[in-house]
Amino acid sequence: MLPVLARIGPLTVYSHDVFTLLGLLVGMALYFRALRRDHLLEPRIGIISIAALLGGAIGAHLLTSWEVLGTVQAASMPITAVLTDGPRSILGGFAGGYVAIVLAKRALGYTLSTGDYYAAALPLGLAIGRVGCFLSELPLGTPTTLPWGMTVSPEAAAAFARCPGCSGPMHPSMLYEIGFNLGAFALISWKGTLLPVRGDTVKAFLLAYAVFRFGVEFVRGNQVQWLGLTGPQLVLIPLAALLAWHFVRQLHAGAYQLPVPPLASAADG
Amino acid sequence: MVEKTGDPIRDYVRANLRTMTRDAIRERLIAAGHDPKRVDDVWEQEWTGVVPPSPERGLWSTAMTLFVIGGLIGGATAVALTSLVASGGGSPAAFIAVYAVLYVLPGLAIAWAVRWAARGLRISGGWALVIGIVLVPVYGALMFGTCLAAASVTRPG
Repeated sequence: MLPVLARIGPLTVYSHDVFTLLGLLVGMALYFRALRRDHLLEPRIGIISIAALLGGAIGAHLLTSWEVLGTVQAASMPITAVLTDGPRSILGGFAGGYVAIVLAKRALGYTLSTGDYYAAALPLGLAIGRVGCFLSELPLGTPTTLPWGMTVSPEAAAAFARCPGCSGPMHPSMLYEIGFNLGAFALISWKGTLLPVRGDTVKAFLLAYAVFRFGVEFVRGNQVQWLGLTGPQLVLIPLAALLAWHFVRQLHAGAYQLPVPPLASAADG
Repeated sequence: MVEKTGDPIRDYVRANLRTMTRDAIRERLIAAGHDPKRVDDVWEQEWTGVVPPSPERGLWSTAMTLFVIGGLIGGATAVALTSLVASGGGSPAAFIAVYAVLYVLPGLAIAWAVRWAARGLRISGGWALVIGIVLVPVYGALMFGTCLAAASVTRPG
C-alpha cells in the first residue's frame, strides 16, 4: 500500500489522484494523436473533449451519490456533499462522458463518428488509473487461497473503516483489471480497429470491459447491494444490455456484411 | 447518393468512407487486387472532404451563452449563500461583488490567454477564443468551490 506518494510542505500528493490524472493525460494524448493522424484535430474536438471530461466527472460522482445520501443527511451536511465528498465510479464516468460527447457533438453539428479514436486510449488510461486504486484502496479483493493472493499489513487495514478479508490473502482484483486493460490496449494497438464499422470498436471494448468487470466484481470485495450483486454489477447490467442491443441491431441490419469492391483485373478491363 | 467517378477505388472509398473504418476499406480493396499505395492516396484525397464543416459563428454565440449562463448560475448561488456569509460576519454585497469580479475579469483573461497561446497550434483566433470562453465556466466552478470552502471554514459552530 502506498496511498501517499509524497508530502511537499503542507501539500500531500495522493497516489490515487496522481494515477487518475496520469491515466487521463495519457488517454487524452493517445486520443489526440489518433485524431491528428486522420487530420481531425481541430477546435471543435477540443470542446467535445472538455464536455467529455466534465460529463465524465459529473457522471463519476452522480452514479455513486445515492450511496452517501443517508450519511450526508444524517450529518446535516449540505446536499452538494453527495457530489463533493462521495466516492467516484469509473462506470459513471463512462456514462457521463458518453452522454456529454453525444450532446456536444449534436450542439456543434459534428456528425462524424470519432468513438474509435478512443478505443486504444480508454484501456490504457484505465490501466494507469487502476494502479492508483491498487496502491490506495482496500480491500484488494475477496479472501483467496490462490498462490497469488496478496496480504496487507494490519496498520494499512486499520486505516479503512470497512476492510473484510484484510486479515489474510486477498484477490488482487485491481491487478486483474490492469491485466485485462493492458491486453485490450495491446490488441487494439496491434489490430487498429477490431470491427469494420466506424465507432463499433470502442463499443466492443466497452461491452467486453462491462462483462469482464461484472465477473471481477465477484472477487472485488465491494458490498453486496441487492440480489447478491454489488452496486457496480447492478449498474453494469443495463449498460451492457444497451451495448449488446446495439450489436444485435447491427448484426440484424447486416452492418458487418460489407460490400465487395470490384476486382482490380475487372476494373482494368 | 454518392456521385460516381468511374474510378472503382474512388467510388468504393467514397461510398463507404463515413460508415466503414479505414482499415476495413483498405483491406478489402487490397484483397480485390488493387495497389495499396493508390488505395492510400485515394483515401487521403477523399477523406479531406469528409471532415465536418465548422459553423464558427453559431459556435461563438453558444460559447458566449455558456459564459453568461455560467456567470448567472454562479451569481444566483452566490446570492443564495449570502446568509452564510452574513452569519460569518462578512458583507453579502461585497461577497457578490467579489464573485462577479473574479468570474468576469479573470474569465475573460483566460479566454484571451488561450487565444494567445493557441497561435502556435495553428488554431485560428476565433476558435481559440471560443475554447477559452468555454473554459471559463469550469474556472467559475473552481472559483465557486474555493469560495464555498472558505465560507464553510468560517461558519460558526
